[in-house]
Amino acid sequence: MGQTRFETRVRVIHAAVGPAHVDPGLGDLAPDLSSVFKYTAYRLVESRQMTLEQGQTGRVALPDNQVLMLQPQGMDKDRITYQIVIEKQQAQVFETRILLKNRGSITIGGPKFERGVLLMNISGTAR
Amino acid sequence: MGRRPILKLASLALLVLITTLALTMDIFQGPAAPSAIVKSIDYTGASVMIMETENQHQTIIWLFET
Repeated sequence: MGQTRFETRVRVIHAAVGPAHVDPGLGDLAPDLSSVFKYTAYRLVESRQMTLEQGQTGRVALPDNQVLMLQPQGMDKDRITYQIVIEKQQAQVFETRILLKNRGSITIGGPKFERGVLLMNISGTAR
Repeated sequence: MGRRPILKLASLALLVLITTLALTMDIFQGPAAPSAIVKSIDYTGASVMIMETENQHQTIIWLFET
C-alpha cells in the first residue's frame, strides 16, 4: 500500500473595499467570506498546488518578504493534521496546528496589503 | 386488489424511502462541523480571532497586527 499523499492548494488573495469584483477561481470563496467581512473586491495574487507527503514541507512566497510553510503530519479519522507557519524576514511570526476536514479548507487572513488585506486559503485532500 | 393492501404497501414503500434517504443524506445528523479545528496557535502580533462562517462552516483565523 502506498504512502498517503496530501494534495494541498494555497490561494493567496488580496481583499479590499471598493467596487465589487471577484477574480475567476474565487467564486467558491467570496460569497462566504463576504458574509463575514466588509470586503467587496477579491483578487487572486497567487495559486499553488502541491502534492506533499507526510512530514514534507511546502513553501509559498507571500508579499512583503514573507513565506507560508505547510506540512501535513498525518490523518486523524477524516481530518488532516497540518502545521502552518508564516515567516517574515526569516523570523517566525505565526504558527498553528489544525485538523483540516479532508477536502475542506481554512482561511488565514489579516495582514495589511496594498489598501486591503491578505487572505490565504488552504485546502487539502488526502489520497 | 382492494384499496387497503395498496395503501399499506404505499405506506411501507414511503417508510423505506425516507429511511434510505435519512441514512444516505445524514438528515438526522447534528450540526455541521467546522472545516478546521485549531489545536494550537502562536502569533507575535497583537491578537488572533478564530471564527466560522455561517453557510459553509469555513474556519477563519484572523490575525490582528496591531
